[in-house]
Amino acid sequence: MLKAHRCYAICLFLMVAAFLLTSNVHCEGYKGFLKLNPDECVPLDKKIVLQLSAEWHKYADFVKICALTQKKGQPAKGSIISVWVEEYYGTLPSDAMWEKFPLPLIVDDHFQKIGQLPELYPMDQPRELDVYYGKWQLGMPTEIMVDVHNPAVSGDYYYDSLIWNKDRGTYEMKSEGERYGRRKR
Amino acid sequence: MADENGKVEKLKRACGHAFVIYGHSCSHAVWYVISQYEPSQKWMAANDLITNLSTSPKWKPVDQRELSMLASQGVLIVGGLNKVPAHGHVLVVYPGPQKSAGGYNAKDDAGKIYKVQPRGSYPLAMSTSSGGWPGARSYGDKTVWDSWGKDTEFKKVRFWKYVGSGTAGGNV
Repeated sequence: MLKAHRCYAICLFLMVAAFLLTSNVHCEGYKGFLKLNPDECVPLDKKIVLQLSAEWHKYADFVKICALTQKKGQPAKGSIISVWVEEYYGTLPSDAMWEKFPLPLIVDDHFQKIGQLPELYPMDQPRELDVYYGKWQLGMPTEIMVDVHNPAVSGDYYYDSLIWNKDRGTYEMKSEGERYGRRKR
Repeated sequence: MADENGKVEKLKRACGHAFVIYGHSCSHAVWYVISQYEPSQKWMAANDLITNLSTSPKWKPVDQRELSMLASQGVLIVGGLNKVPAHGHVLVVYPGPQKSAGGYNAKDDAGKIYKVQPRGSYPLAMSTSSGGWPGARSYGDKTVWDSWGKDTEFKKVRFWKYVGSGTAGGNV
């Protein structure tokens, strides 16, 4: 009787563990893809910001760069440059009007534009972006996915993946519209 | 502007009751307001209501530029955007001059409070929601933009004014 109870308890534990493990995998992201961590992005040298188009210059103090690397510390062949809008508004009166910010750029190791994200990263009020990158070729992720957590009434959505077009040397999205619901994993 | 025949007061009162009674269901809140004008109106989920409004002779499409002016004359206007297969959202245009969207606090994913920066100028809204987004809860203090919180999404929202049978019973 005691043995049966112990066996039942172990089975139950294994089932719960398996369920939690599976749910965790689903919550964490996509197999083979890394999630961009905004805490690992660093301020971009103002000299480089000034080399970008004029719409960026005003926000030079709030522009950060996020390396797209497979391992920390590796030299990045591609990066994402974005305005940290919340930090910008942190320096302004609370009733400051929303401005038209430049969309985040995907740049190569010479800071040349090779793509663009569809919304501000990491936050485009009231939405927050999760960016995943993977499918590596020659040190470049060939696919970048953008999932959007949207607290407003329409709910979460995602965009078609940005796929690396090696002939053109740019990341391209098949269709630019929002796709509501959750991306298949 | 004088409130001839108490139309504006009627609309405000209906919105106020709807906001209090049905604070967590946009379709019920909007249904309550409509039923003050059209007692035979049956409750419908937001997606179905939008389909109903877009096909009923008792409702006519109205341009976004006219919303504030018409609502301030006491005209009942319902706005909405359907979402398939998910739930759409509906609201009532609240009387009063346009104001900036945003300007209220919200919480981000990590629970940190931030200010939704003000932007643009939009008509006021009576809106309720089962979700936690503060932009979708308005008793004339937020705008028709705030429920959706995104320009490209708001562009898809459609509005209809109540014209009733076209003779008696309508409000225009």
